Amino acid sequence: MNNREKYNNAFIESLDVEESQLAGLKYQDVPAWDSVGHMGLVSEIEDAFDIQFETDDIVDFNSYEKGIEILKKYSVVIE
Amino acid sequence: MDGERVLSKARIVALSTVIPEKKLSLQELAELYGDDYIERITKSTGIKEVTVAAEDKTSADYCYEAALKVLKETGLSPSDIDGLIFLSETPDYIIPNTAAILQERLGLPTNSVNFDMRLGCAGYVYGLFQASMMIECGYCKNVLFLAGDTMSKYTNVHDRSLKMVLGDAASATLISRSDNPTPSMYNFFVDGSGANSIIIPAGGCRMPIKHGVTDVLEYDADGNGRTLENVCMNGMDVMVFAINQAPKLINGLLESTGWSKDDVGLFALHQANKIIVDRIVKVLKIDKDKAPFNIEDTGNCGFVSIPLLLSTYYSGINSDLNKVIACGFGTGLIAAAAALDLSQTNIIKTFSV
Repeated sequence: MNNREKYNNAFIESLDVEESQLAGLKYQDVPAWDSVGHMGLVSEIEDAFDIQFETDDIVDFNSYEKGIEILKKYSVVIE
Repeated sequence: MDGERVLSKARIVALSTVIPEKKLSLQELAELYGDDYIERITKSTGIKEVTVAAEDKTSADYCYEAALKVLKETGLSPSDIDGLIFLSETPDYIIPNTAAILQERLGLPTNSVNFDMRLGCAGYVYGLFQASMMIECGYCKNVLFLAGDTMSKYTNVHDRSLKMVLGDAASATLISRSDNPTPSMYNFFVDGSGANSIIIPAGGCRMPIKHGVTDVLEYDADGNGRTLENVCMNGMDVMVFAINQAPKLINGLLESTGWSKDDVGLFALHQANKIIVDRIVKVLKIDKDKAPFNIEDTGNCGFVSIPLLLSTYYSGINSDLNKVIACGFGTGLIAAAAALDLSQTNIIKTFSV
């Protein structure tokens, strides 16, 4: 599984969304992406890439695209 | 533990916790919120059912029961108590203070120190601090610290974010002057800019109750319904505050006490939900077994969650609880942590009424 697939899978598993919904998806766009869902998503991504987000990054992570940008700080490149 | 900020004359002698007999299974809410939502929240928060106070019982009633249990177990008479603190966000009245009512009900001396405290999830640590200070200054010998909340009375059934999480409970803790004291240290944080993050907007002087205004049901962007007379929480604000501040306070306390993480036998974290507890454990890099989670069948009982955790897992006398870190965080936004020695504390098993 490549990084894009791992990243997408984290969203699909934790927020119960379809892959077609991911582009442009923002915090609170779907009912499952609330504060509780957000922390579940963060954990899924951390587990997938074996990293631990700084708290500021957890707060800043407010969209599918923003997550990709943040992951670069942790040397995870989503192509 | 030594230094000028150590409270060194008090001992936490005993503590007792009580929960209401009635429980609300989250499955009972499936018709209202949908099966998928229930399943997701249960998985994320770890909560399967929440305790609900009887309609005719208040926080003070449950605290009264917990107090009787502590007095019975310690063999103390009400006349031995010279200080009473009642901690609650759900007191019996705006006026008078509930502690006075409990003084009469418990038969405590009329010359005892007696007052209410109003704090959220950091309140249990604050109460221990206040009670220990009353011993430290030499004014009191035996302080009964009662802490109880029945937040179900302020939670709207249409607010699924809180109805599925908050539980009701109460505790009584006896702190006494002792020739064999158990020193304690504290660390505090407050950021009042987050005051609106957990709030009941109406009912105080700022926004008095007004029929047709404060009791109107409105829904937020997440689909949670409540009136201005109900408790309202911004989950993300509180989550970020908790995972930011709790580890900082705990690390600060470890530095002050000179304890290593390995030295600590128990990290008694406020049981907000599983996600927050797990995240704090992860940030602190501590052994998960030392920071247990226990609110599957009670819900988040606010500041009572810390004594509730103790009386669930550690009833009796536990000589290995000589180094305990307790940490509460929430409403205010306020966080507080304590370094405690509970190795001589009679921890009484939780009971229900």
